[in-house]
Amino acid sequence: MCSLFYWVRMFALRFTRLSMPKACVAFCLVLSAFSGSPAEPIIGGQEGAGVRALLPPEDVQAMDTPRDGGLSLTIRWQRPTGEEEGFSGYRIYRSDSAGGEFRLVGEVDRNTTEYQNIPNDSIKVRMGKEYYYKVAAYDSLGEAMSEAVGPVKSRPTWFDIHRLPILVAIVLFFGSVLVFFRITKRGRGLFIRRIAGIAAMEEAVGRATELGRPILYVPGIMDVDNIQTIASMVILVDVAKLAAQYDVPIIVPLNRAFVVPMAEESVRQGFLNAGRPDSYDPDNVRYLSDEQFAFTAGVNGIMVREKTAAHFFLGAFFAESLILSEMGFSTGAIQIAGTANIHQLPFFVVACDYTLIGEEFYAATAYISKDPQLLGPLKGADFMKVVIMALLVGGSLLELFGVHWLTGLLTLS
Amino acid sequence: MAPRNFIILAIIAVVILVMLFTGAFSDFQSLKLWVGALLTLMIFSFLYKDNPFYKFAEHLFVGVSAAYWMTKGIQTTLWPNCLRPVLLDWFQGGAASASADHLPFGVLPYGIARVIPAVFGLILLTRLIGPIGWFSRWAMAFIIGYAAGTNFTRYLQSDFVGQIYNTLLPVVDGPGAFGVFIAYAVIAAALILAYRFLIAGLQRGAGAVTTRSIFWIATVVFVLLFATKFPNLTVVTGVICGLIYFFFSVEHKGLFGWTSRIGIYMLMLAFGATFGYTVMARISLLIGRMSDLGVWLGKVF
Repeated sequence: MCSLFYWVRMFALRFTRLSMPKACVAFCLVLSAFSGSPAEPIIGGQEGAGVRALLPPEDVQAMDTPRDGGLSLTIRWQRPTGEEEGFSGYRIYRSDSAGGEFRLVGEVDRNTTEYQNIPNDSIKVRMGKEYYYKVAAYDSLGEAMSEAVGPVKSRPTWFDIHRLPILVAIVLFFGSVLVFFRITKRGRGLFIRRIAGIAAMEEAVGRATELGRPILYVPGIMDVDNIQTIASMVILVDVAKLAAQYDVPIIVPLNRAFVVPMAEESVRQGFLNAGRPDSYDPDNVRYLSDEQFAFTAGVNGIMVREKTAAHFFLGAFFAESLILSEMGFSTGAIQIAGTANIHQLPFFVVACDYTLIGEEFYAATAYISKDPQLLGPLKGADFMKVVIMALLVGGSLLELFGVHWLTGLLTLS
Repeated sequence: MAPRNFIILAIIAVVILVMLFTGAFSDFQSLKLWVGALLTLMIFSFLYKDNPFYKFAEHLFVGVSAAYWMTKGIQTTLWPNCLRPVLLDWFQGGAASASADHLPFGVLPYGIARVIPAVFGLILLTRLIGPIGWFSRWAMAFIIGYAAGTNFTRYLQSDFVGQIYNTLLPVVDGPGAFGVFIAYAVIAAALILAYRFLIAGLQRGAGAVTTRSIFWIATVVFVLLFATKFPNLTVVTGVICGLIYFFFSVEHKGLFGWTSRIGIYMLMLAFGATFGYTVMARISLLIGRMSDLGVWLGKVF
């Protein structure tokens, strides 16, 4: 009997969406009130109007998101039985207690049955705090809320198995760096192929010396937390050393205030390494502006007024790359550029005498110094390239024959 | 007064007069339009050569932007992230901690957690005090170490594992692709044999030039057709050749040299495409500026 009433109710629900006369709908709903169906319907927004009914989501579960940093919770549910279509989606509510006020956390469409309360949400999850969740199916008229589930609290996990490829890559890289560090320390495997741009650095400094004009070194426009800026500072030590040896002033205009102390230390170290600390002029390390194009205008002014003869653009560059290199070209200076920003490389390639492309830029310091400590990582990186090539060849062949386990292994969470 | 300075003063006087007569000072919008247009012209004057007007615009731009970013730093970083939470905690007895959705490290009170980076900032400033200037290196070492460490895993994920994953492609894909691939391989072998036994041995002369030209045009057409037909294979081959170019431990000679040369050609092709695309975007910026100047000219005349 119950199942009969249940089907009558489902019939009613189905036809309410087809503009069935309200009397019929009311009759069906009265019948359904006695049905004792799997889930009790909750009348939509115009409660009591008898227009239509929604069923709440079923089997709602809230759990700590596995393999995360402890700042997210996952809520899962099942689509209400019989609600195949006709509702808009789900709303997820949260409260600090089962009987407390539930606040809206987020919304998803009706085909989604999972939600993660993540740090990007306006209502964030606090680590270790207990929460209760409700999920409501909703449409334009109202919503049907599930029972509150919880308490649930988030905890961090120490290891994410999905990040295993990253761990393997780190172990491989640092392992190879250590091995090659030991090899190069014994004086073996010191060979590095010729990199024209780096080999030309001394030539550029020499030319500035001949002309009796300063050198301009621009370490990009990014802050100290950018790996290219850090790499540029290491090269700056070597360029400053060359400048000190040739007794040429080196001007370092800077875009970020944070880079100023780093650049000062690097230039000072270079002069110290050359045995000429007295020649170091702190006024030549100049902060101009954080604004990209104000900085560019300032550097252009330095090029023209100080008549710099050698330009080094080594670091992270963006839209200013063409303006700087074109301006430098018009002054007739010898120019060496290097960046890992692929979109700016074309401009340096066309306007500079030498360009360090991508990794050549990172290899510069090891190339100049031939220091085993710096050659180790370079050789380690070469070893990793062999690993990558083997993976690409092997993986592509596996894909060709329909074997996807390697791509599956590399799929990150 | 030097004639040059007289000319500059005369130009400034004329500009101010024109501004007065055209109502530049009548409302803020007109003044903004005038200032924008004049500064644009001053910057463009550098195309002729360095001059006092460009110098003025440059120094104004550098000075104003430096001051702007300093106040912006106080407004968006120092005040909301440090001073405000600390003061709130101080005056409201931990109210900020209680209302915070997320406590740093899960345990530290809101205000105290915000004091730590402020202390690092102060340590950085010790470089201005001679005897303890060395102390600033500690903060700097922490910043660089933190940046290098956190960026390492991030880049490893996006630039290493992610890139490998995206390059693992079935090199020959699609129905009947194997047959087409074999046909292309036969043509490639024929081209190589033709080069080895026909083109390489050609003597100088008009006929030789024509034959060589036909051969190289045919080769380029073949390569383009091949790349279009087997894009996955082109991507995988291009990446491997590019990697070989960036291999530093071996001299680039022989087969290694050839593949590395293909790698650099691939890079240059990509650079060419990027160059064209970006120049197009720059032209649109120029059009925007010219459009503003047009509005200004319309207002003046």
